[in-house]
Amino acid sequence: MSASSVAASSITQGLPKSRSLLAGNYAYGGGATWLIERINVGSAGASSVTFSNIPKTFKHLQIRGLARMTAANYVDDTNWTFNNDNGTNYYATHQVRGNGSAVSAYASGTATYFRPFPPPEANTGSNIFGVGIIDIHNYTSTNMYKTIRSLSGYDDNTTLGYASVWFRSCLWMSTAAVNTISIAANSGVFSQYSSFALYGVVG
Amino acid sequence: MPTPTEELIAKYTVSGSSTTTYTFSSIPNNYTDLILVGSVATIASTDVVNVRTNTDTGTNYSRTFIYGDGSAAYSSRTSNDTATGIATLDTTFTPIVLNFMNYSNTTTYKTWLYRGGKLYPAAQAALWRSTAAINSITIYFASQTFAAGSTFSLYGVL
Repeated sequence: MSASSVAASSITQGLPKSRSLLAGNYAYGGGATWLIERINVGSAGASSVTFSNIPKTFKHLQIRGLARMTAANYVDDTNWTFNNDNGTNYYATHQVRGNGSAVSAYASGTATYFRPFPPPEANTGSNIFGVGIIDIHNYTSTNMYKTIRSLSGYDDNTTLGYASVWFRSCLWMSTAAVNTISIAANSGVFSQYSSFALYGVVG
Repeated sequence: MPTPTEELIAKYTVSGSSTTTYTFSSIPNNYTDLILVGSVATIASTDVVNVRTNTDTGTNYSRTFIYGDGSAAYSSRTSNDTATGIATLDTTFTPIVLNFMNYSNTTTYKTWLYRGGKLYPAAQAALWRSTAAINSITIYFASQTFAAGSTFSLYGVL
């Protein structure tokens, strides 16, 4: 299993900056977005990736993911945890999904993870990756549970009905500040060229 | 130490009344992602704004989308298109945002996310079945022209 991490300090510093790119925002209304770390999955694949020692200097976090997994399914979920908390302290997802023919809504129960981003898997046509934008608001707060929202999706140029667009929200029932984010493939492993980038958003 | 990430690559503001197409060309390949942000209106009646990459007019595009019309939610999809239609617009300036992930890789097909809209607020996942790096993005109406003051900004994400 391999996943390479690209430290922000190794990336060229830019000049004109956009404002907030939170998933629900239409325009740039907040503070600048900063790269904290990017993890690229190598040729051996990776069953999970982890962002640790997340600095507390931002207001919000955003993860932009590009992923595909190797199990013999069309699509499956990714299981996320904060701070290595494997207790039943999450609501995995509430979602609105459009699969190309209908819109549906779904709510999970409590779980030991949350699920903001379902990428395609090996049965989906080759070279197709899903993309997701996941926002974690007020991640340093020690007074509130953490709510996560996401927009994700992929298309596969078929009418099978697996490819979809998902709006999701998730909950971590903890008042702890988020200092670690782990993302695991629910089946198979993340394919080569999958990547996850963690950004801090200044409030 | 974290690094500021988004750089403005180019911005275009429509003037006059004859622009039906705008192309961001010669997009540098030194970023990881691209973000296209627009505020767009038609000059007269409703029309669909389309996005095409690398001036590829082949039937290499498809999309799955979800939208609402004020009374219900819908989902639909199209296959083997010659571009991706992203939004039905009218004379009201409407926000559009597109995220192109890993646009410069030459190994995978390109998927991008769209969100925006006013007549039909929508989100879309679009697929371009090409492993080529994206080096140009064209935004165009089939029949309408862009209203003066429409803007398109392309950001590169480091």
